[in-house]
Amino acid sequence: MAQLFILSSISLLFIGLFGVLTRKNIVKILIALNIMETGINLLLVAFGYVENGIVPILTSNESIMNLTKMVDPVPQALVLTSIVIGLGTTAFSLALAIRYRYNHNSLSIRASEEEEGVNI
Amino acid sequence: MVNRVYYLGLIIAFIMAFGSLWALLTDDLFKAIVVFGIVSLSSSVMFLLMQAPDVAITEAAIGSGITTALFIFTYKKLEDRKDER
Amino acid sequence: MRDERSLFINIVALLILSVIGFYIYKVSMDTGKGIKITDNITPQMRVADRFMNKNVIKEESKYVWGGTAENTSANIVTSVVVDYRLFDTTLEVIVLFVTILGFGFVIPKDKRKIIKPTTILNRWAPILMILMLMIGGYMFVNGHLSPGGGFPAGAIISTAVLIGVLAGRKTLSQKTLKIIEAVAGISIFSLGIASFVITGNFFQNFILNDRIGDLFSAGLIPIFYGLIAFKVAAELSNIYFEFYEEC
Repeated sequence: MAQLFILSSISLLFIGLFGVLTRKNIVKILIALNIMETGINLLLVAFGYVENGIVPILTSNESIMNLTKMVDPVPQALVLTSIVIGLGTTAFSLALAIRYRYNHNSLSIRASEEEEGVNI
Repeated sequence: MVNRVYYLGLIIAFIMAFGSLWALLTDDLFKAIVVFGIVSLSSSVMFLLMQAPDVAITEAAIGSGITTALFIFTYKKLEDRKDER
Repeated sequence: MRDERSLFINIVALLILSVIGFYIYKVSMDTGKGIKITDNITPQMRVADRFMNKNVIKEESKYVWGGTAENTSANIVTSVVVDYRLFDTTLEVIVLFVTILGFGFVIPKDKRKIIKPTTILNRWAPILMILMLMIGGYMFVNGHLSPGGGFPAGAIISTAVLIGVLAGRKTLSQKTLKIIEAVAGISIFSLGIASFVITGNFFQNFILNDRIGDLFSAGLIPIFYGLIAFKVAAELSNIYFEFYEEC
């Protein structure tokens, strides 16, 4: 199971990196950044996974007996705060994208260079 | 029993990989936003399989719900501007 | 978007990135002599083991692990987020506040025509709002017993405000949101100062000695989570008002 988790999260991370490197539309780049962030969160939680682990919540006497079989709670706590910060930075960058569209009348990242007359 | 969970994880991993590639390669911006929402929602199922229900609930509410809504608001605002000119 | 369609660049980028990704996967799953990042075989070496046998404070402190279970809250993730790493969480809420302040400065404000909502949405909005507020309240009240907590509760409460905005009903003004946010932020820090006066450590839990699993247990943790939920809800609701401002 841990193999599957790490493989899927690394594939998501590198697909996001591919999108950041090759796309020209600003909103597409932001979508690719969000996909990368999801992959990194999955990777962090997957590093704390134990084979046949149980949820780190004390619900019954049985779970108190099996404390060593619990999944690592510290990466989950880190990821919990990281998701919320990701929302804040996404909102800020979307406002920047709207401002860019209003100034240059286009969403392409080449628009600011073409106005100055730079040959690409 | 373990096998069934493993196959579910395999299906979710394929949906995430193909969905993210599709969201990046398509031309339509609105389609890309909606497919990104699907990818984020299936990643919350992946968190649930990793025995992390706290993170799964947070990802389903914030990462899949409100982030997609913000992208759609931005798309709407850009389209409104396009009609004026 | 001229170069987006170039097949050669896409294929070369995918190949290079897949090779790098394969090597990272190989390193992270290696069990031989190489660098080993994950350790799935011996659970004694995990971070959680040091967290369970935590003993960094003085000896007469009540934070020593009792031998059977964690003695603050039933959900261990909650007791990491709101008890051991509360500094991290409060500073993270402040980072969210600063980014949304910058969002309000940067976004251009222009006139837009408001589309009138349909009758179905207008009639059903209060019922949906009551359901959403109930779910959000349940989540932060039970954050120390079951999965959930302050952050998704704040998101769900702000979604109720969003439905009110979309349906064209007057729910809250922006001034009320700012007052809620300021009161929640001030009371988090004043509770921290109170715990510094009582116990000597900043942000230490000073209500203890109750059974794990009760609704009224875990001392200050549900109070902190409720304050965090209101602060996050007020901050997220500001975004919707910025988008749908009637100029």
